[in-house]
Amino acid sequence: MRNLRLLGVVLGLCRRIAPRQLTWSLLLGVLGAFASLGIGVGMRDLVDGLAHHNTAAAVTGALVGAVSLALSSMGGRVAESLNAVLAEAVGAAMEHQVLRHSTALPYGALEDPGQLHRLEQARVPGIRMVSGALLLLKVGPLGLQVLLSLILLARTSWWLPALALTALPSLWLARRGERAMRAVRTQVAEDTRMATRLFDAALAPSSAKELALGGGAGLVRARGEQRLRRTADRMLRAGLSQARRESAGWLVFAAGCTAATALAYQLARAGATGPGTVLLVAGLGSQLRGQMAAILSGLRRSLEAMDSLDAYRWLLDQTPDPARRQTAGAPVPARLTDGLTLTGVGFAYTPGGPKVLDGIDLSIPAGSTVALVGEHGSGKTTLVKLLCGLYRPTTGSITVDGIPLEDLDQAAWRGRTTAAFQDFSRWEFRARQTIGVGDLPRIHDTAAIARTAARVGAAPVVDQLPHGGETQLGTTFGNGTELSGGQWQKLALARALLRERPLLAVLDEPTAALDAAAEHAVYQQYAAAARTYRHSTRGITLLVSHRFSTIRMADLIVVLDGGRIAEAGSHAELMANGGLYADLYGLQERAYT
Amino acid sequence: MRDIGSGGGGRPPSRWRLLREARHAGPALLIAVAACQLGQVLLPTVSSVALGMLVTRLVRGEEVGAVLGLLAAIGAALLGQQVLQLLQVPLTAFAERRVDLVLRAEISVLVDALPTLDRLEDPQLQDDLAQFRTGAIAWMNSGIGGGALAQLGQAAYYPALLLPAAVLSGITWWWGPALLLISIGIRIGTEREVIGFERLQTAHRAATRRTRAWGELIAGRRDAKEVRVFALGDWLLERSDEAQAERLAAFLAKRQAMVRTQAGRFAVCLAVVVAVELTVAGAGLAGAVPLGRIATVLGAATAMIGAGFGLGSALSIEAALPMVGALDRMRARAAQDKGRRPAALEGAAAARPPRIRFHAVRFGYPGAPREVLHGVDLELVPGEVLAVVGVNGAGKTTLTKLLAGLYEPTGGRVTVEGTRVQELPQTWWRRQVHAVFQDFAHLEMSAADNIRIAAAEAGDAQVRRAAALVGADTLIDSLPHGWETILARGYTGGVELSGGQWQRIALARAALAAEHGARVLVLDEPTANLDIRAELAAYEQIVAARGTATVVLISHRLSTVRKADRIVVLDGGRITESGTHEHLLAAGGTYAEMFTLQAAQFDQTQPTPAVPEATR
Ligand SMILES: Nc1ncnc2c1ncn2[C@@H]1O[C@H](COP(=O)(O)OP(=O)(O)OP(=O)(O)O)[C@@H](O)[C@H]1O
Ligand SMILES: Nc1ncnc2c1ncn2[C@@H]1O[C@H](COP(=O)(O)OP(=O)(O)OP(=O)(O)O)[C@@H](O)[C@H]1O
Ligand SMILES: [Mg+2]
Ligand SMILES: [Mg+2]
Repeated sequence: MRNLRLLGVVLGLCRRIAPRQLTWSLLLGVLGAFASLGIGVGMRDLVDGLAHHNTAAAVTGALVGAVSLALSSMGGRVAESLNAVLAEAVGAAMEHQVLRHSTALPYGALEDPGQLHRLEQARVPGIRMVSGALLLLKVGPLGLQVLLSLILLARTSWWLPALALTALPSLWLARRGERAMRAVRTQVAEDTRMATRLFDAALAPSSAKELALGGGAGLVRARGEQRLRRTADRMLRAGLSQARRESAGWLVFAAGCTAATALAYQLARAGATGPGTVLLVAGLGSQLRGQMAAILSGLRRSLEAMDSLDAYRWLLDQTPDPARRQTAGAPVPARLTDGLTLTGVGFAYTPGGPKVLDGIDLSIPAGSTVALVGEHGSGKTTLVKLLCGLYRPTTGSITVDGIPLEDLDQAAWRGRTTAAFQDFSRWEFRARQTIGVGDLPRIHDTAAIARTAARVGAAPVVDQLPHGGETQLGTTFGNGTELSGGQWQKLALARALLRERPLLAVLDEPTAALDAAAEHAVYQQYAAAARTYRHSTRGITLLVSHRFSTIRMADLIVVLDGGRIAEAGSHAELMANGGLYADLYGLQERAYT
Repeated sequence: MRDIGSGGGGRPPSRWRLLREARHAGPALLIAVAACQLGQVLLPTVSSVALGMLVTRLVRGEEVGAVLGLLAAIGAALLGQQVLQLLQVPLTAFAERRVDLVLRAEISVLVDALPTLDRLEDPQLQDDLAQFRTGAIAWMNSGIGGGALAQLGQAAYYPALLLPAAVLSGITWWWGPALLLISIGIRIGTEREVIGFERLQTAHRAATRRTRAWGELIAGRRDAKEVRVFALGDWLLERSDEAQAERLAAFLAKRQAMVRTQAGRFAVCLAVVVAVELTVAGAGLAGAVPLGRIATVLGAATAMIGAGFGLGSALSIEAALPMVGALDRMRARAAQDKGRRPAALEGAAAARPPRIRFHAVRFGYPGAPREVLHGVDLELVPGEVLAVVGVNGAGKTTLTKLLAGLYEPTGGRVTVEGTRVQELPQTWWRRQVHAVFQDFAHLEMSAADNIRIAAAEAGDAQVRRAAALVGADTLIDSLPHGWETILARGYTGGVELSGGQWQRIALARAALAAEHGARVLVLDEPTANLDIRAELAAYEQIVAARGTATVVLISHRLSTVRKADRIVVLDGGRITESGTHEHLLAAGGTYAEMFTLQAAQFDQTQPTPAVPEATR
């Protein structure tokens, strides 16, 4: 069974991390099972003792009842607290694992609704996963308790254990309902996510400033609320109909209990047992109900946790252990000899969806600089992401010096690529680190970082900060300094340039937010860097830009149109061609004269 | 600021305070939930009374046929308890969701009503807000709603004790009060155990927020590309573990302490229960209480003692208390803000664009050592297209935020027809001016709604017209679900747009705002990701779509800027140049320098400016 396997995973972690607490928790669970029975037995003995004026029996009964009551109530609370300790400690360890493995997920997984949902499930706070799973642990003691109850009942009459059978319908109905509830929860997942994201957008200063104008905040609020209401309604409807179904099962059980009590009454009246037995049987019935209900609601509450655990397992199975550095795959060459070759590359973001790239045949010689040009939405960024290995082509193949990209040792290939993306990250670290993460081994090399910053005009940005390179940026991790749009981009550029010997450097609209002087300077520097790469590693520089002044410098210019290559060649060739490129170039040139 | 901003030091809000928030679920629902809860605690007593009577009849030797009514009552009480419990679960969850969604709405209204952005950026407030975001409270998936409903359940405890106490007193007068005392004593002890988590949570809320933030950087989608390309996973994970370790140690210590206290209380608890049972046994042996009643007494006493321990939902209450504290602080601050600014709406949209003036405006971001603007003097002539240029970090975006009233100048004034922006009715002014910022929002909503945020009341037709004005309609029509397509991956049929496509959406927002009566449009780098053809077209489209509105355009693309009616240069925190393109070019200042630099790159005679040797 899935749940048992998942519980096993959690217990294994508990045993490793907090063995003492686990032992105590299990022990108290078993004691609790005996204690719940002890309450009824004590009551029976006390009443029978009184009926027969047997002081010793009455006092023993009272004591058994008292100890049992204390154990089952106070002991239960201690067990809960122990479980909380387990949940806190083990949950943190699980969160760590989830984060560790999530970076090994392919980028595309974060865009796929199904896989994204699983990742979200795996990312619920670990404490909730563990405590939910531990609820399942109560099933064991319950089984024990049921068994003991049946033995007790059988000692009175062989008919009484039949009571257990009347519990079956409610259990079966509850299990069926569980499946229905899971289906509803999956249905509402998107609504809940959207509501959460919109709420976040309403509270984050960066989006709140735009939403403050034009009543946008109201619209965002209304849409979020709509989704939440729908979720609430759906969950209520599903919950009520399940309650209705289950009630029918419990009707059978209540009837069984009544019959059992009547039987005990008969026996006691005939003198076969004492009056205490009537209390015991009625008491056991209500104990059983309480315990079964607790288990069922525990199971129900553990559902979400089990789904999360399932997602946790999925994540761990899906991704290789990042610790065991995989050298699987072909070694990455130290220097490029031939270059990159794309043959018949096509790509669709969704299976069967529209092809964003189609039939791309292109060979990029080692050591060259390539410029990608095209209208917005023509597929430039997509091609960039393919080359960085973030997606795999749907059709065709990309080879590096003749070796297919996906056969290369991925970690090593990543170590030899560098990128400035169009939607670059705004890493809110210390300014030095924000650049330094571009080449982690050198993150403490302040001199190299300063040098690189200077090359792309980021030095003044860093220098004007209150504590220079040590200034905390942004507000996420404390009261840091905010930067302007262009300043952030300069840091992203410096980060991309920090790696010294890349085989592939991609720059996707690296100067979109830069001022004229900075843009000019940056391209000078890029040209220089490209030349360095060309000599040191014969690396390739790929840049996407709308600025022809820069594009012109490239050895090869590729014009994309609707996901296909419209034309390719050097500046002079394309100008002579008189195609889209010449058109756009002319337009921009005229705009400056 | 610390007095209202800090949460750690102040007294935690009372648990009863939560009940006030429960009202958002509506009376009918609350009564239904309370009835379920009350029924569940009362029915065991009913059943123990019936059992007592049954034993009495048994002692009297009556036939089974004569006690069928009692047997049925016992069965019905059992079934009743179960059905009530089954109903309570979905009803409670529904009520919790209702409370939470009302409060979420309130919080977002409070945020929206903040007079300035720096108030929202205040780290104290951000810490408070972080508590409401999902996942901030690790233990429970519950917000204030969960706590409020749990407190309602706690409230049901006290009246529920009265019935068994009355039953006991009916047998021996002092037993009722005695067990009341015992039960409440146990209860108080139990509550004590969990108290302190609220403090702990509030004290560590910043660490919790940081832990979540690191997690989002590692596993979230926003930065996933760079995390992979630069292999940042392990480095980020180390930081996340540091943040986690800090709060984990504190929480583990507290939980372990709780186990020890509870284990210590076991002996006390045992002594009390033994005393109760022996007293009952003694009374039975002495013949003071008949056998049938002993059964009732035992049942009622057990129920009361059990109720004292029943604090299962205490943790959701604990989780909700810091949130209530945060909510109260926000409400208090909002109440202080009230009345500071005129609330009345001065008519509808202004008939024509207003004259806006910056008088020696100075501005520095709160907490930042350097001033960004050192005395800006600028007049926006109604209806003009004004371009603002300047190097990165010159303060262009800041200038527009001041114009929109999102920040208050630290010196000087921004006036609209002579009135300071801060004295205008906030909601009115925020409809008069619309801005598409450089980092405009990519919202996980439908394409139509993504445009509609610029004018929330706009109908579908208006949205489509605005989109058509800037050429975004063909793009949207081609999406899988057209205008209803959600602009984010991860939703069924959702798509991600390219950078330039998003900018089209942003332009459509501006067009819609103008259609809907905005008199001043701010466009901060609206064409940074567009190719030259689209860039030039976008300019024409915006100028056509704006109607009579004043446009403030910020751009580093001087090819667009040159077409503006007027260009100003922001340099060193001041406006240093102002005039038409030709005028500024002739003047040979900063603008001319920048323009020549961009234009020179097209100079065929001098292909690529040489790379300085030194950098090789
Ligand atoms: N929210 C903020 N908090 C603190 N300082 C800020 C904030 N936003 C910007 N700054 C600082 O204010 C200065 C001006 O920033 P602003 O965004 O106005 O520049 P800009 O002219 O728009 O630049 P860009 O062309 O790069 O967009 C910068 O030095 C920046 O570091
Ligand atoms: N993550 C994604 N999921 C689904 N569709 C996408 C995704 N990213 C881009 N697209 C779609 O793929 C097409 C190509 O997008 P891409 O980002 O490659 O364009 P681009 O040439 O870089 O455009 P721009 O100049 O605007 O940056 C667009 O139609 C876009 O809507
Ligand atoms: Mg792109
Ligand atoms: Mg700016």
